[in-house]
Amino acid sequence: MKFLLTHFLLFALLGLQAQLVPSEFEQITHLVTFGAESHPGWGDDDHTQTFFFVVPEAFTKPVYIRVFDPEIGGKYDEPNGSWDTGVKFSVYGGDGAHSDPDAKKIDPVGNYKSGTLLAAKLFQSESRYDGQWYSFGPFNPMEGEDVPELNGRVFKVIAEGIAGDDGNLYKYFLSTKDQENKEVEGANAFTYEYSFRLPEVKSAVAHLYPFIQDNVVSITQHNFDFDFEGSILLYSIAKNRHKATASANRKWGTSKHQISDEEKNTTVDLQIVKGRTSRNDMVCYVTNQYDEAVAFFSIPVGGPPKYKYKVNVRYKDKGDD
Amino acid sequence: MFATRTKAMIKKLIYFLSLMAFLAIGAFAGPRDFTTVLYNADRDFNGVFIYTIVQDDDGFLWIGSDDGLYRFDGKEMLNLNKKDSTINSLITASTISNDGHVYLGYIQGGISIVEHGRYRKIVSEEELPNRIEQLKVDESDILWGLTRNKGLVRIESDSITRFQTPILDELISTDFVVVKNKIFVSTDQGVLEFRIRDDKLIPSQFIEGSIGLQTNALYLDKDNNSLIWVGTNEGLYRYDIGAQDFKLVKGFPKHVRISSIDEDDLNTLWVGTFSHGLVEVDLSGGEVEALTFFNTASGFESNEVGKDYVDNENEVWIGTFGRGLVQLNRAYFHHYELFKSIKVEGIHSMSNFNSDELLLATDNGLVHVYNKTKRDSLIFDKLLYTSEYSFTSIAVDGNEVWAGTKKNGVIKIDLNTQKIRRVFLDPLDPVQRHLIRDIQIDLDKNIWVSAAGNGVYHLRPDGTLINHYNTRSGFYHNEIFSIYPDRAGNIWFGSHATGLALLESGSKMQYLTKDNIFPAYDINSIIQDNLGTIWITTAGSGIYSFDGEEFKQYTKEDGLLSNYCNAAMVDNIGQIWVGHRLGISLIQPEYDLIRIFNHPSELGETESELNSVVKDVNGNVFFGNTYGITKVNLPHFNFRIKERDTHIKDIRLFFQEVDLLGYTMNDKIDNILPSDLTFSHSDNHISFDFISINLRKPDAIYYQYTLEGYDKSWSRINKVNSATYTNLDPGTYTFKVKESDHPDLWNDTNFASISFTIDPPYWRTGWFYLLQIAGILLILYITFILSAKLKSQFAARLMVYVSLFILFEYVHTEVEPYLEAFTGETPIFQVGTNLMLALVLLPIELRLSSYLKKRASRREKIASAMNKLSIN
Repeated sequence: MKFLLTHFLLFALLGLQAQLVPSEFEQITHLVTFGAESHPGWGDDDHTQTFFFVVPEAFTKPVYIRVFDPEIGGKYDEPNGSWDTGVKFSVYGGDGAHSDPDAKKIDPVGNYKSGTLLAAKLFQSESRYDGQWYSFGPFNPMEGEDVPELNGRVFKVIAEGIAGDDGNLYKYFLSTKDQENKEVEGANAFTYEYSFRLPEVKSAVAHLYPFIQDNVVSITQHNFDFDFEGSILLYSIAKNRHKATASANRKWGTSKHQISDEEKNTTVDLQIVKGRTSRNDMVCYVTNQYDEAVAFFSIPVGGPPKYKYKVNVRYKDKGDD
Repeated sequence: MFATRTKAMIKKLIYFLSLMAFLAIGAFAGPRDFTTVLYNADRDFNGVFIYTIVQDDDGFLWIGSDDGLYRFDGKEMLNLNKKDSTINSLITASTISNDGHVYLGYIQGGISIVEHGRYRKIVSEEELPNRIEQLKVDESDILWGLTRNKGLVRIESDSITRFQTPILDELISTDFVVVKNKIFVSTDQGVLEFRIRDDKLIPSQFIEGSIGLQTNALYLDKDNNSLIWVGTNEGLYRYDIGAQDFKLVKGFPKHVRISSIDEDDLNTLWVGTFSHGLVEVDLSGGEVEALTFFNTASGFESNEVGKDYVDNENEVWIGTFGRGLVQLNRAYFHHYELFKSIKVEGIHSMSNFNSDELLLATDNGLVHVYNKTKRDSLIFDKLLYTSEYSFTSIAVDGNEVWAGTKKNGVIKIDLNTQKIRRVFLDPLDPVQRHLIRDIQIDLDKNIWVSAAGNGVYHLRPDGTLINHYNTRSGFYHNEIFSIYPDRAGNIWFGSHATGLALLESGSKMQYLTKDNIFPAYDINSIIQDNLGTIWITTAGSGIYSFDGEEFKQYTKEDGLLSNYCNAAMVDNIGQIWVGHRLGISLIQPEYDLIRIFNHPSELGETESELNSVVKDVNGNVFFGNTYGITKVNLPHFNFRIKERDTHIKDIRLFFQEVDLLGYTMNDKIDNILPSDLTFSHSDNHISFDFISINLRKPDAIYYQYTLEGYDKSWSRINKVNSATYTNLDPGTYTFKVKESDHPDLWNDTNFASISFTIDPPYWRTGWFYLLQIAGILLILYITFILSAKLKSQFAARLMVYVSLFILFEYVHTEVEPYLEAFTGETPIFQVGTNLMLALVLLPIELRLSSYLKKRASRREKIASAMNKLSIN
């Protein structure tokens, strides 16, 4: 499986250099993390978001993890009364950053801050960072955790709502420069739980791309606080518009879906279709039959899935006549 | 609404001004007076990310990089990970203890000590499982280590104390300094102050003003141990411990994120930054006096500096983050080309101006030389209102310049009002168009002017004539090339063809050459050094010194570049700099040496103009050239001859590296090499690798060596840092090697040595000799016994003969080398010695045979008697 995933990654990443998170594939406007005192009804169940960045093993130049609009206030963020929220961004590398079982869990419990803390900064309402990029780094790629199955080094970024109840909307970029967004060739990013803002307009579609490993026989999608604003659909090489359960306000929506053999080692497209124009923040994650979280890749591994239509036409054999 | 708009406009204006300020820095700054060397795969260095650099007392530079630990001695970049698997991890911190040991901290945690080439873990990764950010040794020789997230560790005589405080577990610690009983730790939230009391670390608080600042580097000032320099994500700060005053260093750009700070011996801070390269910060009273940016815009290798380090010889090393190791060499010379840049040529004279500025007298007018505020690059500003004059000599008094010209005699320039006034040297001749050779101002502020063909004019400050010295008035010559008012009030005159004259204060003129006191005739310039000695440069006779009693001559034979000396200057430590057409000579009285510099790539332009030299307030010396000026950077600082230690760093057998632990009784090596090396007789082809560490110019070192027990004297002088001896006989030897910066300067007491033994082969050991003798005695004994029993006389004689032959052949073989030493290898002597042995052998053999015959006949008689008795 590891071998396959590695090769899929290599295949997928050749020619793709977008390290913006959320990526253009996902059509998600921002990631969202609310302050620790906010109500889950705002669309963030645990006030924490963990993302992993993979730097290819062969890449040996300094990398920066850049955060767009890291402060809470001003143009992009979600106010709830006065701006009183602090969000701490922490970058981890080294052993255990990804391999620790708690790092792969959807909830911030146990040793989820595993690895070596490389950099951290607490942001509050600071106008100088409003609508600006802030760079963590430079990091030596070797300071990331060596993850052979991903053929690279992994850095973990945890955004943690420390205080207050406002929502911080932000983006990430894995860059080779500290003052501009310059892609790291062949890099990718993934998370096990996605907290994000949906596109506002009606009929807009957000995409999440969980990668289905070859030991998966079924997946369960979980979405939180979608407010029944539209539909959630599953697409894959073998699934075309499979409906998944959408969630109500402050509720989780869960549905289980079987995985066929041809879907193994491929990416599934979890589409969230907006039914009306609104601002909505929500959370999604997917688990397999062992209740293990499945990673969403920012750049879909192997590319976005395309349903293979099966035309069930059988020509008669001349011998049958 | 209006207020908001105004605020926005002000904000935009501030941004604009900041941007302009930044651009201005970039425009004027540049790596001045430095050259860089990049260490990459071409130089056996494969590190890309550099975390730590430290130099040990022996001079070795230790570099922790992503490619492991390297040790650099100027010639060899040794990757120690390849030699020692115990390193096995990325090294992020290093320091040197007072006893010279290197300590290393690892990215995975743990600390090792390097005991002269071998590594021993003193704190394991399990004991300290957190990245070691910094290691430092305090005044009491106690080693301190700072981890990234798990506090501090103290190591004292192998006793390890952990100081883990909750606050440090929460923060990212980056650097620390120990000041008496206080420890300051820089963190991502500010600088924390701790007190050490009863072996406990008592957190005090964040130092006021630093809270919320991401602080990355701390540096305790070399000269003031209550001053800490703090590098942050928002510029450079200074913290006065006593006054508890934390403040921003004005002038240092606030947007620059600092990664590392070090200081050199010139009170210059070297500040590494995460994304703006390296910054040289010249300080004055704690404030920025000048900044120089070394970044990619100015041709530097990288903008991302992980670590910068000033070594023992004041050279700066920059560990970049992503581009390897860079050595920043302070250039000894810097040539400023002025013809292409500002269309100026013929810099015939130079003078100090406004304490730290210069004025140049050129063919194209005067040039004002100065620094822009907080920039250290020189600006050359042509004074356009003087450009119609071709100047030969200037003397500056405040803002007034007495200037000699080629065709317009003397003019006086007021630099404030930019007014130029002609000075008529002689009231009787109001249309003088003299070529002026030299102008000097004496202690009384009077002016001395040498006019070509007209001797010397002595003027008052207002320009009125005091005296005119020419041949008509009895002066010795009308072509005076040089005038020098010395500090005692005497005036020295140098002419071409008639030599030197001296007008002693309050006395009459003395013609020293004419009176055969001074031997040279063609004088170019005259100066005085700090000790009062007068130095006289000549055209064709070298340079003379005069200490008040006698003249001493230095010529090409003594090492001077040329006997034609155009200009001379004494630097701040009394070294004499002499400009020639071919380059520059340096007389170093302290070492009784002369060094020369004549390579155009080093000097830029070799030709020194006649009498065109000046020294600035910092001690830099400038020589005027035809198309520019050549600056000698801080000669009192840069050109000292250093006596270094030499290290014998390896011994190889048959040119191959070997593990020397296999040739010693010790379990570990206590020095770079073991002191009890013993080799077998077959390992008698031995090479010695040695080094005297000069990281700036490793090829500038000269060596001499000798092998006591083999060589009779020191080897010839060479620059090769290895020596090989072959076919060494068994015995005990001592290898000695010494170094020098100059082939004429040696200290016979400063050498490195190592003794070793080559064991004899077993056949040359005592026990084997005894065994051989025992064997021969046994043969003789057996011969004796058997000969008594053998019936055949022939067989008995044969045995005797063979035994004796063995005995004598053995003796012969053993004695032969000694005989050869006496007889040589001449065949006749060989034959003679063999014959002598044979002649010795013959009588013995005859006597023994006779004895055996007698014994046999006696035995026969006894036997027959016994037979008779038995018959009876």
